[in-house]
Amino acid sequence: MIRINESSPMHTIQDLGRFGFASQGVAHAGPMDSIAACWANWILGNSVNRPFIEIGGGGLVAEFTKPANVAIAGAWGDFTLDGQPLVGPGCYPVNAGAVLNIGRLSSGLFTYFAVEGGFDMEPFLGSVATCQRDALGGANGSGNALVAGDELSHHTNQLKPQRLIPRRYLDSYKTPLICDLIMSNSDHFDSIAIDSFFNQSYTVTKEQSRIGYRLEGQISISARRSRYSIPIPLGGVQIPPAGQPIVLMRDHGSLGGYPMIGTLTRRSLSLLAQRLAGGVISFRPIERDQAITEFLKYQEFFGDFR
Amino acid sequence: MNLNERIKWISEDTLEIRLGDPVAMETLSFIEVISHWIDLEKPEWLIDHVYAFGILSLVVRPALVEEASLIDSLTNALSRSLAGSGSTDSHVIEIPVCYAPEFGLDLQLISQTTELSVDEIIELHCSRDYRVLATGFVPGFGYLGETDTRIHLPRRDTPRTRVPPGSVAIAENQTVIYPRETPGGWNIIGRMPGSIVSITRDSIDATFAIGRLVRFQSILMDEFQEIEASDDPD
Repeated sequence: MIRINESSPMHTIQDLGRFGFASQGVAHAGPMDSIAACWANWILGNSVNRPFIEIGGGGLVAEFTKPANVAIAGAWGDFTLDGQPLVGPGCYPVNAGAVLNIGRLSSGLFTYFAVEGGFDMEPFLGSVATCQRDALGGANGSGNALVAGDELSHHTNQLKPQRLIPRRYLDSYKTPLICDLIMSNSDHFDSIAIDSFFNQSYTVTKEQSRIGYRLEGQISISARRSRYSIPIPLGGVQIPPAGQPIVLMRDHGSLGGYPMIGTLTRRSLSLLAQRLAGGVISFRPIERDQAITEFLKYQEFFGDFR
Repeated sequence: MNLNERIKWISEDTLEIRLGDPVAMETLSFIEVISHWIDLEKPEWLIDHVYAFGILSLVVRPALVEEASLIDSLTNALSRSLAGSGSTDSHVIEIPVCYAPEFGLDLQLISQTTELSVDEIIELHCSRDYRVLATGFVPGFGYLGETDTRIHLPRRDTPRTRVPPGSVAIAENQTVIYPRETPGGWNIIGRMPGSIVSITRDSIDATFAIGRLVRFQSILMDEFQEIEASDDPD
């Protein structure tokens, strides 16, 4: 058992998401940074879709009632295990009674905490992914974030050989980010709008949530309004009438009425998710044929990467 | 319809198929056939699908998708829908709505804008059968069309932060029901008793599906309360 001693509303149980109900308006949910989340399960030899904890913004304290192997990946900062600092993403064996403290972050926004074998909980509509918007998933099935006092059961330690994430795959979350964008077939934007979009840099604003991140650039982008709401994809970049982009994150609704200029690649989306307000980003166009190579590599390596 | 030209990848794992006129029977019956085919076949390459207003979006496992066979499957479904095997259900779902002022929060305002009396607005809303043109947004939500042109009006300038569950609303050429309390910008004209969707651990049972016919029936407050009382409180 793992007991949560301190938590915040940005700490949720996730798996790779809830699929098959989008036509009914159910959000997919799942990890904001699916690359870091997949590494956490991979380190432990777990299958890719085992439940894990997404810790947004640090501030989690958890206590173990039995020995376990845990993996921590993604955003990093002042993390300790029984008072001993943790040096970086990887696998950490813990004893019964040990206390894990995910403290203040110095790089990134979302830390992933997996346990060998994964947390045991009953799926709701096929997934344990917490979606506050849909009131689905999580420890009690109703979409709540973790709270102090929650107790999470997990599989008994099988002590498989642990793995290390090769250093070249550890991402920096602090550098200015260039996002790869697969262009939409949109007649909502003229060439002036598209040029301004690609030629300026944007900052991430404080309006960032699991539903979407609002960005701000010097020049507003104008778009012809659309009449109908249409299906919108994960990573879609919408331009509402104010002319400043919104990037659709994991809890976004199935339909949207704002014109869409394109969609981020999954890798760019994961890296953007880790940027705090004030982070600088820009966009460059990429062909889907080119983007798919990278995506397929992740799928091949992790299993069902999404 | 040549599907080759209508398919486009919009992300690494999502492709979009433009089916054309969002209110045409041809489009709606095609979607009915496709949904049925997906439920039956549960193709391994398909992770999820969403349809709205002429656009079908498929989330797939790209490694398993061969565009040629995908187009074949969709073309088969299309020819079946044209042959009429998937023609939309002619059964009309009747939905009781109480248009009392405490539920129809925007009726007065609509009356001023449209220069119609409240009774005329209700009459127009109940006077025809609507098709479900799209589902989504939240579980149970359906976009029904098309409403009488005399009650077409834009969404509210400032959306409400909380629309009461069961609220029946109009905007542009459509009408909707809010299944649960959400923010919303549509003009509220009444409320339906009971619930339009039930969600269990494994499934969602929704009243609205693409292409279905719906008609609203005006009821009085005591009928509303009677139905509410007899409805399962859960």
